[in-house]
Amino acid sequence: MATVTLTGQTMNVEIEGFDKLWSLKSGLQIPLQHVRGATADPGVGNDHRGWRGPGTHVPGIITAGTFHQDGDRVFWDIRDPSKAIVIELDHERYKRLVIEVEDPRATVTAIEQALHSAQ
Amino acid sequence: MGRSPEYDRDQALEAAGALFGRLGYAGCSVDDLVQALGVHRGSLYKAFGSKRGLFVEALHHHLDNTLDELGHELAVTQHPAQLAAGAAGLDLILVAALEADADPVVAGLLRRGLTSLGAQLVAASSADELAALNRGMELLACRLAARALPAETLPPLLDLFPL
Repeated sequence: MATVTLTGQTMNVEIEGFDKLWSLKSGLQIPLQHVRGATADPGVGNDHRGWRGPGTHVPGIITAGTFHQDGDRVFWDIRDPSKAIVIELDHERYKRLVIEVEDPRATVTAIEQALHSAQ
Repeated sequence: MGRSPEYDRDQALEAAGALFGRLGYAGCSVDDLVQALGVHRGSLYKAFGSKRGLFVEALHHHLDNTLDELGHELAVTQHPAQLAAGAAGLDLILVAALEADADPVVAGLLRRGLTSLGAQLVAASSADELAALNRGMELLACRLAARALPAETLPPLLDLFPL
């Protein structure tokens, strides 16, 4: 589960319950100008055509982390596919974040509003 | 391969515009878009950034391409209100009207689109932008009425919109 907060010109993504074995940071700070958009996409975990992602979480097995899809570095952390959002980035280490949030619609709306304000 | 990237993008925007017009914005899922556009999910995100990004571009494309034709048709016909009632090309505009309060970019496109559409129906002597916008909104109301009401109630209702 991730929490997205928006402050001024930055989008903060905090990943909860991250296993300490992963050397990844538990949070990401991304300038809004590097955020191309956000989409609530409950079908993202089921797409098997041309999208070689790890799919949804299998109980007992950690599937979160960094994956490469079609040459792009994607951060993937989904347990419940109905809560998945896809955040597309530019000029960042990650091309795409595929994360689970508590309220996908509200989170996407908040990101879009922040993007409008930042322009 | 003979097809240019511009052609494919235009085709995708037209397909997306038709789908959004039919399903509405929230009712249209990424799964729906992937299927209708015949593209991979990753390609969709790379090209447009998000569902919202695709919607805005599809709306822009629709206003630039379809609406001129529609406006011309409306201007030359004797019963523009009747024509507007049957104009499925206005459906995407209806959907945009519902999204406009959440999105200033959509609101701006909508205003411009309706104004240029209505401008083809106001008197040539009048350069009043507000009058043109009102005409555009009346056209939209005609389309909404045609979708929402039974056919037999439509003619009297269209008399309320003296286009």
